[in-house]
Amino acid sequence: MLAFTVRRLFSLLVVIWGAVTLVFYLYYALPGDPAEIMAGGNNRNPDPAVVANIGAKYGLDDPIIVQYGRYMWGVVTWDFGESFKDGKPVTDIIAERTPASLRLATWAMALEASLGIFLGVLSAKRKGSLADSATTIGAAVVSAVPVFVLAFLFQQVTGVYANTHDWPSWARLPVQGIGPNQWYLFVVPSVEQFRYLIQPAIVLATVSTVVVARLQRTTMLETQKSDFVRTARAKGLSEGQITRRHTLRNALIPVVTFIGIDFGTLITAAILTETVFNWPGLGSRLVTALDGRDLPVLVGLTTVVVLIYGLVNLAVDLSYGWLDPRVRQSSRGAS
Amino acid sequence: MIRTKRWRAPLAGVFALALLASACGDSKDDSSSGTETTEATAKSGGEFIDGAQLVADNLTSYDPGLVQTLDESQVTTAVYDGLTDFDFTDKVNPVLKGDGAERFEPNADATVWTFTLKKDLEFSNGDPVLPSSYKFAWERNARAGFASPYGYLINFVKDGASLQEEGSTVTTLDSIVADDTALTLTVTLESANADFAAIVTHPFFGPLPQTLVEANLDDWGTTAMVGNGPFKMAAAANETEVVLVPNDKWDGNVEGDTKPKLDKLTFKIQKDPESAYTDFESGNLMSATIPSGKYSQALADHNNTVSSGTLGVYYFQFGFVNNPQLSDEVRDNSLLRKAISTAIDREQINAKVYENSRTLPTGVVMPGIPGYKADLCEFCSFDLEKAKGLMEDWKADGGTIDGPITINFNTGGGHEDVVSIVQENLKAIGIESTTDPISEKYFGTMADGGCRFCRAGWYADYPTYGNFSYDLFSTDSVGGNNNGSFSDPKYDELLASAQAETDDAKRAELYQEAESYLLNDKMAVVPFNWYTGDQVYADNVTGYDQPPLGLILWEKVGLK
Repeated sequence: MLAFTVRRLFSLLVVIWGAVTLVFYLYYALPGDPAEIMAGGNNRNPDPAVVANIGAKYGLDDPIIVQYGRYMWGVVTWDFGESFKDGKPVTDIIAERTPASLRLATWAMALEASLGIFLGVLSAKRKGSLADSATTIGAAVVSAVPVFVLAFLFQQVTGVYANTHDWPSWARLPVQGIGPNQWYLFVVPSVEQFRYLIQPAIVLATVSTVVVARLQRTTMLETQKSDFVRTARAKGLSEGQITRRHTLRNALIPVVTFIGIDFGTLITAAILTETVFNWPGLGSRLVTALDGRDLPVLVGLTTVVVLIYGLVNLAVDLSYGWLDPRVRQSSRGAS
Repeated sequence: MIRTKRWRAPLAGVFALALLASACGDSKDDSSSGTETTEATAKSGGEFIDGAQLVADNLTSYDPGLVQTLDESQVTTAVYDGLTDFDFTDKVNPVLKGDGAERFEPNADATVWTFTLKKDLEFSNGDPVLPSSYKFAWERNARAGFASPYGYLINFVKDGASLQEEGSTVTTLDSIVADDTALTLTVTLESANADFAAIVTHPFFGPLPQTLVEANLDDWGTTAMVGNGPFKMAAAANETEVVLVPNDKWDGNVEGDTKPKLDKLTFKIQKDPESAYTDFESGNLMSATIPSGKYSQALADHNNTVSSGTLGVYYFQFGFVNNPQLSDEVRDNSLLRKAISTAIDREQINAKVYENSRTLPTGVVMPGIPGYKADLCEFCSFDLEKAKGLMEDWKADGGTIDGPITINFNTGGGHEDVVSIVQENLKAIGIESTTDPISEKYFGTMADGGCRFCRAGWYADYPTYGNFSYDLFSTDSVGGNNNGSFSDPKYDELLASAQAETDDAKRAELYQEAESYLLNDKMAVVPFNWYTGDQVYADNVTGYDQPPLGLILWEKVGLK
């Protein structure tokens, strides 16, 4: 297990290096001259001395390979530089934004996983019934609605409509923002915090809930046909025991894999959710950095996102050992 | 199946508990009313939560030497006061007054300005505001290594360009003399400029507390900056908000206010303008910018600033180089240009594209600029018959159109709708046109001779006539912001005399004469509309307005 983990962490470093290189390349492939844009080139023709000074200050005139080397050295020594836009150290931005993203993604994942698995098991148990069709169609409809449309609907109902029709304060929810930013044990929100968290978390969760539900349903149905389930039933175990201890545990493996991979989808879907709900996470900051040609922030935040994604997938792989004792990470097995 | 049903009850129970918990947890609303005082008559105190000024994608640094957009300037100008400021009590006739300066005087030919500072002024931490605070700030902001987007402003000062040269290690200017004992700041200019005292209203020319800033020379904007304005920073700006509290060492503004009314001023950083507006309508924010498409609704439902004109103009310029169809390179085409300008249906554009929120122009420069004169332009209103008549006159004079004219504009700014109306208008007087949408380096391309009939917009950096007349249409500005490369010796001469004229009334006349020549003789530029305010504010807010320069006077804002 340890050797496996170490190998995976090493390959994660390689992935991060690849991602940073890609971001660098894309930055220079973007239209426009970064120094000119930073000097205000979208609104007027900037003074050439100003553009030259900006290019010199941020080393934008150096050959790309030199800038790249400089940044890679920075990444290695945990010096991510300062934002081109406001001079703030990128590590400060990361420190402020990463917890917000992690908390939102964790809750969205928890909601998506619990609701998806619940719906999937329900559909499998009631295969072919009205409940089966209704729940999966309902989840599909909600998942099909674009994130920002759903967000807008939520905001209009619990925010504007609630305000103009004087709903009681318990029925109203904040429209956007992170609020007091009070958390316990990192992920548990205070009661007031929960009111800010719940809408973005639900909206973000809807992106993949139906996929989890359908996947869970399929794997449950397949697992139910297995020999060991028939044996368990023949031996006289109750349906509930069979479902919980045998079918579900095995059916969860592909679903858990999916949820882990889907974390990547969450991070990207989170960009829209964070923007509409003004949740100060990594996604919305990345878009701002792209717009303003803010290279250090782009590189820094991308590194963090790739790192999180890699660690989550590692955790998923390590969880197989718990879910299915047959799959132990031996010196041979590296999936 | 009984057993599987069992998990539904506990699940439902959990959800019910969660709802109950969130209900119990909050009885205090997120300040929809904002007042923390219960007395309805109190006009002071309370916290104003702003959702209109700071948009994440626009924000750069709050450092007065680095501010670039109006967004962060709102914070910077609340924290810093300059040598002078305009009293906009009469919005059409603003008066330049001393703010940090008691007096400000030019010499006879406007090449040297002397500012005498008020006594005993302090920054919020007690450090004195001295002439050296200004000299230090200007030199620090203008350093090449600092790379300020407004660094070119130092070129007004003699030898200022030496600080701005790429790779320059020059750090001081002898042309700025600070005498802390006599409290005078004497500035020698690069060339005569009677408007210099107005130009120093820009945050770039504000004072800085030298000792503190020297310890943080380049990163001052990331700290809780110490200033001399009506407010001070409660903490450094973070990723979600900027919080300001009143500065009890403030000496008042030029309009007679001596103390801010608010206890606390919180700027919430917004990401999506639509969400911000929704948040405003839900009662959580006290101000918001009106998103496009919502003007009619905003005007009907909320208090707003749309009737307040701001110092911005939307215009198209004729290219004067590489443009034989429209310029005077081959023959005098001024009649054609006048016909085009008279054919543009500005009302239709304002109605269709801007929901009637903009003001129709009567010249380039708008009310709020000292020296503004109404109805300067004879060819700036829509009159189809007049336009056709001008076309006839031009043709009779030998003018011929040999092909469609090109309309340039930058993509991504919503100008397509304006351009399509322009194309219709041109067709009505018999001119075919094609469009040239440009996505990258638009202004640079135009300035390099690419302009045929090109769109532009300009928002004043400081309220002077010259910021428009000179920066946009002088020969010196060719290659800069003179997108059409218009160059005329008579125009330049009029501008030069204006800039050297220290008598305000005479200076205004000279600028007006220059603009009249630009529009009525040469018709080099076609103004389309003047910008206006674009914000809404809550019902319990008093004193909220967007002044012409757009920088809100937060000391006037209060809560009922």
